[in-house]
Amino acid sequence: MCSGTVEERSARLVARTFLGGGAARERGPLLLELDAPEIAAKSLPGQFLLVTCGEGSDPFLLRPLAVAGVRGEVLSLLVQVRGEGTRRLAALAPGSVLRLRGPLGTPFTTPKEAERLLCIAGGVGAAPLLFMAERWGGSVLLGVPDASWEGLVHHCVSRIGSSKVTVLSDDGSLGEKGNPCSFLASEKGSALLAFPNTRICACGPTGMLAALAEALPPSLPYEASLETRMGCGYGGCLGCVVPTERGRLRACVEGPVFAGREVRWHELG
Amino acid sequence: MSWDDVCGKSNPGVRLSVCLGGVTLASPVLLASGVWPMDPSLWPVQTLRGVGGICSKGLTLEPREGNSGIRIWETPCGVLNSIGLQNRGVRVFVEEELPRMAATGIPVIANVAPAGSVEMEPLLAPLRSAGASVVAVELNLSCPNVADGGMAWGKTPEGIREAVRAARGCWPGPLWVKLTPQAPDMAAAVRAAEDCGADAVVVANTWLGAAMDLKRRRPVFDRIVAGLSGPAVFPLSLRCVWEAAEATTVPLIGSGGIASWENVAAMLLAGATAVQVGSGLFRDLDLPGKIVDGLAAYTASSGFGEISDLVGTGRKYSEYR
Ligand SMILES: Cc1cc2nc3c(=O)[nH]c(=O)nc-3n(C[C@H](O)[C@H](O)[C@H](O)COP(=O)(O)OP(=O)(O)OC[C@H]3O[C@@H](n4cnc5c(N)ncnc54)[C@H](O)[C@@H]3O)c2cc1C
Ligand SMILES: Cc1cc2nc3c(=O)[nH]c(=O)nc-3n(C[C@H](O)[C@H](O)[C@H](O)COP(=O)(O)O)c2cc1C
Ligand code: FES
Repeated sequence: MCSGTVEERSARLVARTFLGGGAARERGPLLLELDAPEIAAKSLPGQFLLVTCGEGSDPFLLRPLAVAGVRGEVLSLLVQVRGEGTRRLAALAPGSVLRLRGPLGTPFTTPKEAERLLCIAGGVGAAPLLFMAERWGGSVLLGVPDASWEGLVHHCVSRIGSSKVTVLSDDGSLGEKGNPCSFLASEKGSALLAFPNTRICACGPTGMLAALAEALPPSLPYEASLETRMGCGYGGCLGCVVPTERGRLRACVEGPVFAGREVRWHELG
Repeated sequence: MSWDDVCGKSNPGVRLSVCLGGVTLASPVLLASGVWPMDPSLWPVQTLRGVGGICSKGLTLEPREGNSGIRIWETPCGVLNSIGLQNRGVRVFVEEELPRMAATGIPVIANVAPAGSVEMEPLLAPLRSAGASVVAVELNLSCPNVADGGMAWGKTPEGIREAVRAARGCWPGPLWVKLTPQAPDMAAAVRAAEDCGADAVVVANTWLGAAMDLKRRRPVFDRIVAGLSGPAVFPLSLRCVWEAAEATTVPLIGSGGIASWENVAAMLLAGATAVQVGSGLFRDLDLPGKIVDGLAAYTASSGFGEISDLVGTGRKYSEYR
């Protein structure tokens, strides 16, 4: 799919915005904006980059991060701090230079004209879906744990407009109480799904993606972007494979976007 | 980009090409088995500068879907892998993958992983029929990630002899043997390969390791053990090359942890004629080009005209004392 278009280049961090407030500030999510004209021009919604988290050999591997938006020559990433690599990324001051490898992977399917995109995001899984909603239209159902995620909600609203964002939180402190799956099971949710020509695109915790595959009416097209550990990012090491009905497929080439119903969810660790 | 554009531009005064047991390669830097796609449409073009040849993924007689569970785990300055030889089998390689790889003009080395001596003939026959598209066969006696064949063979001189003899009997072309660092006596291992007709020996493959998942309270890998590679293992593989060079005159190919031109220079000084880069590509797609640039400059500054002039010069240290 990506036919020889992968490249690795240096890119300057032009801006860093912490979206979380208070204690959440350091763990993100945060928005990184990079001056990366060549990679930005080629990137499509659902594709991702491998990013260095600093100089030297430790951490050794680059970190996969979805392209969260492209504006002119500036490419943005949304990063949730999870461990050492993302912590170092978050600590980089504007002006720092990173290496980017990409764009990688197969994007979400380009919607047909009559199609209506319903994007279902769990936390920082919003990254590729915001890029998609900006480029192709569509609305976003965003599930977050609690009010410390308010910054991400504001960011989504500022990018695609409040009428396009429905917020759900586990503890009810932001938007409605619940998560995307419980919402879709509600009356309002079923009404959303009943719109003709709806296509579902999702990204977030594996549990959420698996639950959606189970819960969504089989007639609805459903694509999910998965997270796996990665080595090379360009299809060489086979370290990132996902068990599917078509065999073990590479998340970095055939994925990270898979048809939700071809993934063998129960075999995922 | 043609292969001529790819190789040899870096320092016109210095010859990069090397001769490796019957094969002449435009550069001593090879892409190691298992880290490079079999489909050239996926190849990042920038990586090809400075590459002298590409080793295929480990090929088996029948297609294999590889190991279940987590396959990649980061370690300090390295990575553990448990891929388990996922590949489409030797016949699909010869019919579909090899022609496309060979059409790029870059020499292809077929890495083969037979499950036992009886598999040798059926595994190598399709490669014989591929003619000049395969410049050498690399016999993998070192995969730590499968239950049958693989590393079990490579650990003893007897096992190595049996395997190399069998391969030699059905492969008339250049035969490289990839040893495992788990062999307790590297000198004996390399001599066993030499005695039975190896044209070159690759020293070595990944190092047996393991990882524990504290969250799930279980080993990270379904097979428990996995192969360690990356900069963390470089001093270990350099030591293996040193010991192997002590024991043989067969050309050696260093593999394990190479992440800079300095690492390659060290391997050549210790006695390797060429090297393979694997995990280093995970961090840097420009690595082969940077290596040949650095090596060419180092060669020139050492007063030599060819990179291969460096080979073994670090072994004569007592002369310089
Ligand atoms: C295609 C893809 C797109 C992604 N997009 C985003 C994004 O836009 N924003 C974002 O914040 N995160 C994203 N992630 C997840 C992100 O890559 C991990 O959170 C990150 O690699 C963790 O690294 P660390 O050093 O902070 O954590 P550590 O735990 O120290 O990581 C150690 C190793 O484990 C891997 N790892 C850790 N957690 C995961 C995980 N859940 N899934 C896969 N590998 C993991 C790391 O890559 C690294 O190799 C994406 C992952 C993939 C595969
Ligand atoms: C993901 C991965 C897959 C590998 N697959 C193979 C293989 O199929 N056959 C083989 O002989 N070696 C295989 N190797 C070993 C490498 O070719 C190389 O010898 C080893 O990784 C040490 O070198 P490095 O530190 O440069 O990676 C693999 C290594 C990695 C990291
Ligand atoms: S990360 Fe190497 S094949 Fe996908």
